[in-house]
Formats: sequence, C-alpha cells, structure tokens
Amino acid sequence: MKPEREKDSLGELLNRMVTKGVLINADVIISLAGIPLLGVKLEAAIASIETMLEYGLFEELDKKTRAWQLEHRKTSPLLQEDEEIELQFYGSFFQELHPIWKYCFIYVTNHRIFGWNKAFNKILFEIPLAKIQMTAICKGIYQDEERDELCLSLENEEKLYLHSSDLIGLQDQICKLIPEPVRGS
Amino acid sequence: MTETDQARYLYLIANTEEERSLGDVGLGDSPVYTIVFQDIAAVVHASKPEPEPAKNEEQAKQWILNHNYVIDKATENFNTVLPFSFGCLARGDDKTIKRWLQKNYGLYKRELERLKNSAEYSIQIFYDPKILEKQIIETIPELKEIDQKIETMPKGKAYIFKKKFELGLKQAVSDHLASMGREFGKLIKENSIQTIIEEKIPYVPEKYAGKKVMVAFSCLVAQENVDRFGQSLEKINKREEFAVRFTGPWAPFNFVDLKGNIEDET
Repeated sequence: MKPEREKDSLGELLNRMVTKGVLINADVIISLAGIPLLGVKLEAAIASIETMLEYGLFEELDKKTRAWQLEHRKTSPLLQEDEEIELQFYGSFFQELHPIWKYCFIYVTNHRIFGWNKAFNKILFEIPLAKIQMTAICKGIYQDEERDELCLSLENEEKLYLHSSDLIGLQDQICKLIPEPVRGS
Repeated sequence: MTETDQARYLYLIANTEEERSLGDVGLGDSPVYTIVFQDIAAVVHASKPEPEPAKNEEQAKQWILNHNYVIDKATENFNTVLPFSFGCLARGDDKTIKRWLQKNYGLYKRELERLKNSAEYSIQIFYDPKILEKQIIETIPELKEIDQKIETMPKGKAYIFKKKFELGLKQAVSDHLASMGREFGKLIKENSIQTIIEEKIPYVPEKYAGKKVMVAFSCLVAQENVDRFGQSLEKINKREEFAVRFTGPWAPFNFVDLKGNIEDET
C-alpha cells in the first residue's frame, strides 16, 4: 500500500506541529510551543489511544519512547508547596459542566486531585480533597459499552467522574487521603 | 531598525548554502527566506517581537497550514529538514540567528546528516472487534461450546454462563491483540530506522468508524525502504479483522533529537 498525505487534515498537522518538532529552550526564544501565538483552543482535534495501554502492548518499546519523551518535555505539573504526589495515571474525567470524557494525566496528591495536559502544560480540572464528600464506583456507558466509573460527590451537589485501568486502587487511595467521616461505599 | 526586524519566526533548519527567498508563503503571507551559516540555514520570516495570537480559529488553522506548507516546500528543495514546533519566535535579527546557528552548528549538521533521505510516516492499525471476536470464538472450542449451549439454558444459569463467556472472550481478545501487536511491531521495526508508539492520534477518518485503534506508530523510514514498508503493511491491511492507515511522508517531527541543545527545562 502507498502512504497517503492528507494535507488538509488539521488534526494530523496539529498533532505534529503543536506538540512535536524542535522545541529549543535557548535565550533567544520568546514564544514557545505555539500557545501564545495560537491563542485559540484547538486541542479537541487529538484523540487518545486506549487499546495499547489497556493491553500493555509493546511494553519494552513503549518504555523507551516514554523515556525519550520524558527527557524532552515538561514532565510534571507545578506542585504547591509541601504537596506530594500520591498517585498518577493516564485516565479520563467527566464533569457535568462539560459533558464529554477527556483524557489526561491525572494526579492525586495530599492536597487535591487534578488533571494535567502535558502538551499544553495546563491544569484541566482541580478538586481540593476537602471538597470530596463521597466516593462511589458506579456504572456508566461509554462508546455503547457499560463500564465502571469512579464518581466523586463534591460540595454543591457537583460530581466528578474518573476512569482509569485500576478504579478500585484509585478509590482506595482517595479514601485514604480524604479526612473522616467520608467513606467509600 | 523597524519593529518587524526585531524577531524571527522559525520554521526549520535545512542543509543549504544558498541565501534565498521561498516566496510569500509564511504565516499571514509573510516573506520566507533562509539565513545561512556555512552550509546550514534557518528558514524564517521577520516578525514583530511580541507574539500576536491568532484572531480567530480560522486564522489559527490557516497559520498551521502555512507552517506545514513552508516545511513541505523546504523539504522539496533541501531534502530532509529539522522542523520546528508551531510558534517558535526568536528575539533578534538575522545576525542573531546566524550566531545561534554558528554556536550549534555541529549539532544541527549532525542531525541533518543523520535524517537525510528519510522521512516520518505514521501508521495506525485498527481492528474490527466484531470480526475479531467471531474469529476467536471459532478457534477456542470451550468458548464455542458455551456460546452454543447458552441459548438452551434456563435464564438464571444462562446469565452466569454468559458472564463466564464474556470474561473468557475478553481475555482471549486481549491475549490475541497482545500477540498480534508484538508481531506487527516487529514487522514495522524491521523496516524502520526508528519507531515510536503514539499515545495520541488525530481524529480518524470516517471510513474507520466502528473499528477500534489497536496501536499507532510514528516511524522514521529511509526513502529507499518506503515501498517495501508499504508491502509489509499491505499484508496486515489485507486481513479481514485489521485495517491499516498509512500516512506520510512528514518532516521528522518525532525524530529530531537535539538533546545536546536542550538546557534544563526546569
């Protein structure tokens, strides 16, 4: 088969040009990574791949890739003082305000739970642990299939849903961190 | 010095000794030209020193296409280039850029030579869960047996067996995909200079609707190997349960390695 060039596929271009390519951190560079120049949200054009992570394909190769990426990119979000990461994973989240599942790196720290977009170095959501009133594993429908999701009930009847490959572990970790009398069900 | 002389928008670094214009093809139709040091050059347009964000989404899209167009055009003229991410604006004039090329000459030259006559290709492998499941059930007698028996069972028992069946099938699909994944990975690695696995892919064209992404790679492939590479992929694409999307050639966005130049980012 012959390779195709979908020149006008914006998603394809965005994926390469905004998140990859030479990024130099020299003194002469004023604006990096396109965010200030773009000034418009275009992140929606990039989708994630669950399958290979889910099935742990190519662990060896994947490790190398990650190591390379890690050396080249901003590798962690900015933490607050005396904040420590308890758990981090690649997963998805859902808020009723923006009812669509979004993928990102999710961090559970001793202060808060937050989602971080690596390419844009941006915090996507943030919940102080003290605001969590209850945690529960519930059923949800995603791409026509039923699956478990972790539901965090917050103040003002707000809810945050999380999905990861290890929901029970995630729930345990959150329950350990949030103060009594909140308990999982 | 006018204001537009005070910064340079960077598109790429290329192998060329020639000071020349590439035409008014840059962001917002800016004139694009080369700034040469010895036999390498930065391809830039002159810009104001303050980054001016795009006014609207349409303009942002146009800029992305412009950035890509310059990279494509330069690749045609100068062989493989080192592409910059969108939005790199350097403070200074042509002399500043020249000094910066001079300072990093060895590194850029080495990387240009390494990537010469190769390009980046992207490969996405999809599977059709329905077909795959059907095939797998046929190959596992235990599953096939349960599947056939369920219909005749009383409701309660059927439920339990259905769950058992689903679990078994899920595991079998997972094992099968993992083993196919290793096989495909091997095939792809054999034909590439370098391979990385993509964690994200752009939205997938309509024709793959209903299929799931199994794995996606970006590969650096030597020009002379592209045909053979395509033939290997065709073998995967021919299988009923899999489909391959093969795009390129792209500038080596994923493979430019300028480790030496990247200062501590923290």
